[in-house]
Amino acid sequence: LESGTPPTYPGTSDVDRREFMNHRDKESTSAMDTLKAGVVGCGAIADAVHLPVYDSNSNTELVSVAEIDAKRRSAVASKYSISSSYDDGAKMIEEENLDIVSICTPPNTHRELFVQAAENGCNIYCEKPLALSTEEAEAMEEAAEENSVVTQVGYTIRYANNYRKILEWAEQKLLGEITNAEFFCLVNPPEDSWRYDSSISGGGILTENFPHWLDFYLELFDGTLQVNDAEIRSVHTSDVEDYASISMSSSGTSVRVIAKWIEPGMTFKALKKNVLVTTEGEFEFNRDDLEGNIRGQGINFKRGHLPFVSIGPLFQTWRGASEDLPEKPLIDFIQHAMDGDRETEAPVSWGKKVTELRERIYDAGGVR
Amino acid sequence: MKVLITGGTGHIGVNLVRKLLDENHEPIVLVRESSIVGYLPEETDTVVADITDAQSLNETFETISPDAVAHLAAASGGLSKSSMQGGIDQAFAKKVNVKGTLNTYRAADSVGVKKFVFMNTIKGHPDVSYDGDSPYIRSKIEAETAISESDLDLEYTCIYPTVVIGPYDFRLKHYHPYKMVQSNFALVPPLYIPHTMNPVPMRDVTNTIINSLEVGTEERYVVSGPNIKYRKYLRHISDVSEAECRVLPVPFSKIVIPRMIDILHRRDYLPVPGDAFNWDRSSEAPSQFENERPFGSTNLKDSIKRTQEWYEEVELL
Repeated sequence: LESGTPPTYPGTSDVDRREFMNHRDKESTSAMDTLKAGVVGCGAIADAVHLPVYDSNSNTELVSVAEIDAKRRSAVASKYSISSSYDDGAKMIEEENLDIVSICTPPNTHRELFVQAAENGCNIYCEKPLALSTEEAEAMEEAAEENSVVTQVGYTIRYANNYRKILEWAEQKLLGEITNAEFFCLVNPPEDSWRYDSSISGGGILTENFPHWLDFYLELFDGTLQVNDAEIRSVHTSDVEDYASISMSSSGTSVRVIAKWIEPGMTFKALKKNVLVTTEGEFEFNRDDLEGNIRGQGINFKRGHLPFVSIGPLFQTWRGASEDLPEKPLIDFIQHAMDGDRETEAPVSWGKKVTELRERIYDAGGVR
Repeated sequence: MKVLITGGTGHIGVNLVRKLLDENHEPIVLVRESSIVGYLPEETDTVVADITDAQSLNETFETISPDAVAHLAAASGGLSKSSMQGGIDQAFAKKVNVKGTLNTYRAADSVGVKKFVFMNTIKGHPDVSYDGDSPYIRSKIEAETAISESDLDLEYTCIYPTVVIGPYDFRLKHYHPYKMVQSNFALVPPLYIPHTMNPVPMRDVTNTIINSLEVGTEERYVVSGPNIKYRKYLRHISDVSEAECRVLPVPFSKIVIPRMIDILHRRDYLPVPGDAFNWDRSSEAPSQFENERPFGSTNLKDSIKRTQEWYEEVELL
């Protein structure tokens, strides 16, 4: 259902009826001043993004939080002057009449919370990874479909200016045909101990850090990526992987990835580097820098901004090249929820595809 | 009107196809295997053929049987080289621009096409004496001579545009000044090379083509704007963009700047001497051909604005 085009009713099928009801509901929802938001799981991502965004956004009102840790719960409740807080997310969803729920708990809890929130008619923003398995993701997609709720999975890289440019250029065919893609994802290991327990986290680097880029590359290649081969190892970890070398392809285009949790030294802390070779250009980019050529025209962006002074290759400098990346996806989602527009940047149906791709990589690497 | 277009994925071609679609004509774009059809609007019909292969071209024309033909295809230069800088060899230019044009003209005649438009360039106009050695321009002149001397009855219109300014510049041939304005708070020579240019709005060019396709006059149309300083062009870009770029002149820059560069080069501050810069970049139109716009009088600044907006839309600025 596209936003702004009300379906006709009475329709002939149940789907028509449901869409009509949903549209009517959404109209009444959008007539309200604000959406009532609740956050399940008040860890780092909730603290950095979800709580402050819901608190400050003019379209939302942060009405409730759920957190298992009593100390953290009361700290958050008092910081944001929230009167109702819960130790159990399911209970919060059941008892509070929420319009939006953010799921920021460990991945093994996502499915249950998600399905329950959908059944309660809540629009859902679910942090990545969406689910432990494709099977789980399917159940979540089904619940979202049946209840026609607006959903989004927390992939942020696609919102970064530099990455957006690459996606837009590819979409506009300015890049011609992509011939090769390579990605190095050498990042610091996480701190929380539960992330090293696969029954809770669902996996190591491929689950913790990599979904952002899986999402990006899947989008870049129009939703089709084959996994040809994967070497997955647990070098300095026991239960989850900390190294992966993956060979993928899309209609003959080679996509190679090396992902590793590194022990950061003083000078070399992390490396996220994408190299893209296309028939019309070549690029090296990450969130901070985007350098390359399109048809021989040199381009150089910092966080999506052109230089402030550019004297050819001799000297370039930027002024205020910044972006509010972490907040962008959630703010965008809130707008979609306000409009009742289910076509978000990464709805649960897309998240399922990303989950499926991750599963195929694990399969190719002989994990599980 | 069913119009077969060669060179439809080029800068003028893409704009022409969009305008024809807007006006409910039926454009069919002749593309090569390697053409990037993604530059065209999704609903565009395409057909694969090569203008250098007469037989396949004839078959294609027979199948389609167009009412009119806009022949825009040309080999103008390789990677990043603009047509004015050469960038292609003589033999290739001849094969595509002369032989390809004759093939297209003959194929059009053989299926009874009534209107044929041949896109030339201002420097290829018979009344402009061209003494340069660009294989592109030489071959364009030769192509026009060849079709005018052929004994076929098909009437044709020749169009001679100057520097065409407009959106959908997928090959980024006109992107550089827009990027420079956006990337600098001030532009001073040698960041830009002062010269005179003749920009003409895309819309006036596509209008001229469509009019020629519809009416079919046996004419030569120059489509040109005013000769302006490149500095003024950059200032226009700055005016229509959010960038607050100041474009400043340097007095006697053609003498002063190369000397400055020479001095810096001798002291090892710069890798190239002053004469490495090509200061003779003039692309002005002969004065008798200034402001010739037979169909349309689009405001140049509007055209620059639309171009700027397109570069912004596709995230190039």
